[in-house]
Amino acid sequence: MKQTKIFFVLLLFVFSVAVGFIQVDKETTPIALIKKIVQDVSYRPVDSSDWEAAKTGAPLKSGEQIKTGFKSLALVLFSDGTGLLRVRENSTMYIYGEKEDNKINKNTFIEKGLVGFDVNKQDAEEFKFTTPTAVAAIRGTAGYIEVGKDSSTTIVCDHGRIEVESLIGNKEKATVDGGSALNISKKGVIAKGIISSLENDKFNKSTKTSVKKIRIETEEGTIELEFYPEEE
Amino acid sequence: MLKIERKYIKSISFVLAIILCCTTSIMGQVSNTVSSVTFGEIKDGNNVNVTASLINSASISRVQIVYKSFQETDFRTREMEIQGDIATYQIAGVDVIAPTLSYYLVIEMKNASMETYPLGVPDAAQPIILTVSSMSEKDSEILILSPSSNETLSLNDLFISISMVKASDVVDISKTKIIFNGQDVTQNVIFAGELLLYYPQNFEQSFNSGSQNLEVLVYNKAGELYHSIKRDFVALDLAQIKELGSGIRFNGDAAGEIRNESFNDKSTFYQNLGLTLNAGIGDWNFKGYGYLTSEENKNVQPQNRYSLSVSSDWLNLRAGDSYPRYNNLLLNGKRVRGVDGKIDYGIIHIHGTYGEVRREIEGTLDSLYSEDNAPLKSNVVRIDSAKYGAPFGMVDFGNHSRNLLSARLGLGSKNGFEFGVSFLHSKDDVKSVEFGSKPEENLVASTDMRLALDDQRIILKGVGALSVMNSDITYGTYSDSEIDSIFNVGDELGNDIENFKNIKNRISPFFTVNQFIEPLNFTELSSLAAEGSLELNYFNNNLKGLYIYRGNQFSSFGQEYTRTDVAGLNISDRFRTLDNQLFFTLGYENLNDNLQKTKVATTTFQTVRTSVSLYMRQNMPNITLSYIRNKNNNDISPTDSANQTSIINDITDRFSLNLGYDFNYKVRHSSSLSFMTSNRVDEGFYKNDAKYFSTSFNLNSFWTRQFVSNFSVIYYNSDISSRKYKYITIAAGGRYKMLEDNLELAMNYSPSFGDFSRHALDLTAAYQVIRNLWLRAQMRYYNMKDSGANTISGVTVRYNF
Repeated sequence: MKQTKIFFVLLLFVFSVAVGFIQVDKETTPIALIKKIVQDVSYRPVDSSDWEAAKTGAPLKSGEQIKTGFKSLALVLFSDGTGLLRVRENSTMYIYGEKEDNKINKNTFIEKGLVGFDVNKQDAEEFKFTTPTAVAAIRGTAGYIEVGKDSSTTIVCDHGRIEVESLIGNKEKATVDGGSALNISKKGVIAKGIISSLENDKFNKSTKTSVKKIRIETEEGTIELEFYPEEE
Repeated sequence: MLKIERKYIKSISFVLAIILCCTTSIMGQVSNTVSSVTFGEIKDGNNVNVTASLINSASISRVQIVYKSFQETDFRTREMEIQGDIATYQIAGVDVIAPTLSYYLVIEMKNASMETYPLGVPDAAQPIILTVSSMSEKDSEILILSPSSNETLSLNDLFISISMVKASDVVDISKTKIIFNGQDVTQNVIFAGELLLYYPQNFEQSFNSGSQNLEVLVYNKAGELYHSIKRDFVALDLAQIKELGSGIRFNGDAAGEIRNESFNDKSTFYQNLGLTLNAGIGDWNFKGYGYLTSEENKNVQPQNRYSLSVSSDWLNLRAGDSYPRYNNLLLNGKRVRGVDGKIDYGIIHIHGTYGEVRREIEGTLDSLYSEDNAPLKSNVVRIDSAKYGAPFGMVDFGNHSRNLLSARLGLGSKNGFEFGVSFLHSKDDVKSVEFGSKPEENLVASTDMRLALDDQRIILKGVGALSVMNSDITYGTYSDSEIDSIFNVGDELGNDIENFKNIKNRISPFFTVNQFIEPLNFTELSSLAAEGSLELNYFNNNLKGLYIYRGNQFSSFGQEYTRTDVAGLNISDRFRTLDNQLFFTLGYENLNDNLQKTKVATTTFQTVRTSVSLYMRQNMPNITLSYIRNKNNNDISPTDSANQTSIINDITDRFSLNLGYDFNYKVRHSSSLSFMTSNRVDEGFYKNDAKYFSTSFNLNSFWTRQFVSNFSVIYYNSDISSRKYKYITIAAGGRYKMLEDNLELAMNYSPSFGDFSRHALDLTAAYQVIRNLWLRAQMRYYNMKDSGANTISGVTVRYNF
């Protein structure tokens, strides 16, 4: 009986260690990695149909997908050090990248939700965001992109410049400078303006990465929940 | 791209290594008050923390660091924060410019004497020259993605990620070494293509919470070191980042110290207590700090320190002791006990400070005199005869308490255009003491602007300040009747009496108006200080032109060490080439004094500076060679017998050579070697010729992760006005960690021979009693020629929570 217990404990230990260690493909350079995770963040490998729980420090290859749950957050760093993405709650996005010499051309497809970005000035490489209704090319820019439930896209530029092209309708083109915002409707119509106070608040909140915790006392013990408090 | 044959590199490296290892000269300075000064990594544009360890700190009232970069005109004088037996200061990154940073310390004793570190600066010794390493193109090839620089994170979130995506083709990524907290952890690093990943918590058996350091050594395909980068960060145990159910997180530390200093047969016992508490809720951070010491007493300026601060993205508010930084003419780094607040909201920047910068210290009445026998001396003053029984007394003056109010309104962005207006008003409290030196008042108005264009390649900066000073406010503002008694209608100024009264009445609520105001005539610009600079960063050049003007009566109580009565131009250029491995610096400065014709002659100060720095990073030492020539002369003729004592005519030539070399021989070593020589030829009246030579060598060897040794030698030789002074100092010691890093032992022995004779022994033992509770015992023994044996012994208990 005692030996059985020891065996199970050892088995549990080996299993825990195996799961705890992040599996890494040693041949391909990952496009990005997950810098920080709050609460419920999962990712889907290229060749898998199943979502897996993401871990801090996990590398991301081109074509992999990230999903955040309720009150959750993921910070994504690109391997060339050019930018940081803040994937807010209830968002889904794909990371794409192609290495060319010493640069990585990056494209992030935001399926839904809000992604804040802070991107250094690019040399020659591309840094693009794609949504169901638009594609945006950025250089040395901070802001956020939000994809609504109706697939409309809102692009807010705090500083720098973003070139936007609608993917549907008349495929209009526009440029968003610092302090401006732009909306592409589900029909591809572009509307420009300055950043509203609501958008400004959203941008400020999108730059926050601190979390709060609550503790719930139960009969089985204390449950601790970590959550990102800003998005009500 | 300069290509140097590998065999030559090896030959040169070998010769230099032999020189470095065989020399008998070195670094370390002698001092009666400072045992050592340590600097953090000195890199172009980065903040640098300076820590000075003090000897006999009981006798020290103030420590100032005086520093400047190679190209700069003025030394900046800043007050260091004294806590127990250390003094600290952080030099702002904007003041840290390659190729060198010169510094010395000014130590003021409680008995009003003063000395410098190293001893005798500026007459008998030169400031210490430190090499400032420059940012390299290679720095942008090797990227530490995580952790960020100076980041504080939880141990559970700690992972290390290094990107080689942008590395040169000559780099062999597989040869990269990762040194984490002094230990080579490469075997545990995952090489994922051009991304290196390391998860310390998967491997480290005992992983101490707190400061961590990371070093990445990158090699080329020939196996030679291509580049190395370091990063410091803090990783804390979850126990140290506690989070309450309400969302409040906190951490902190408490430390208590008892110390006995025996100096010149006099023993002094100290007790110090320090407490730091950090807390946060949401985006708001709170910090409380307190330091209580038995050295506190009413006869010296405050020794205790305390502050409470709250900060967020847009607000920074601090109560207690703060060190506000406005501009270099107004207020910068001076301790203020009161409140200091900053608001940054979009393009609006507001900064306000109010508090006491000097507390009152009552003077003492030493002797009494009658009307008849009172001597005519400046410190013999009329006193209250009813109170003291005599009309005159000889007084040792104290000082009045001094309050300061300052504020700035800025508009714009630091990345583009920003304009600011600010003021400072500071006044002594006349009633704070009975026997004090003359109470004063100061008002300064200032403007500043900064314009950056073309992605910071063009930077135009300007700052100006105009001051008014009242050198005696004892009797306050003139009354109308006093004005009437001074002027008569028939006088030349008599018709303006009413105007004068009106102006006085308008000004007096803000500033004391009497005969001690200066300047009286603003049109001479004697109280104006201004400087403007234009910086151009193109074609690998950093070209900077600076014009300064500081009238002889300019004065700010917030910046008391500003050099006045000087104007002129400073032009410098720093050119970098060979992938930021080779730097040339050339500078010319032409200043003159006597701006308001208050001196018998005008002196011209001309300086030529040039340096060349080589940072090859491939098994080659870093080399910085610099030459400075100062020529000072005024227009007094040698035949002018009436003014010949005022003749200034001297030339000083200074050469310095600094070499730094990190190499592997069995284990890792870090070494430095420097030579400095100075020769002043004085053709003035006093013929104060001076010759000076010093050399120093320092070697740190990292034998194991637990054991680090250090060795240094300094040789100093000067001949100043035919007075010769020569000594040599050797220092050797080491640090050893044992019992799974829970016990750390350190020892250092440093004898000095020659005209400066001293033996110094330092012993330290630190033991972690329970997790985060450290007990540290320290003993220093000094045997000096003039004071005999002195000891400092103490015990410190520190707990992090």
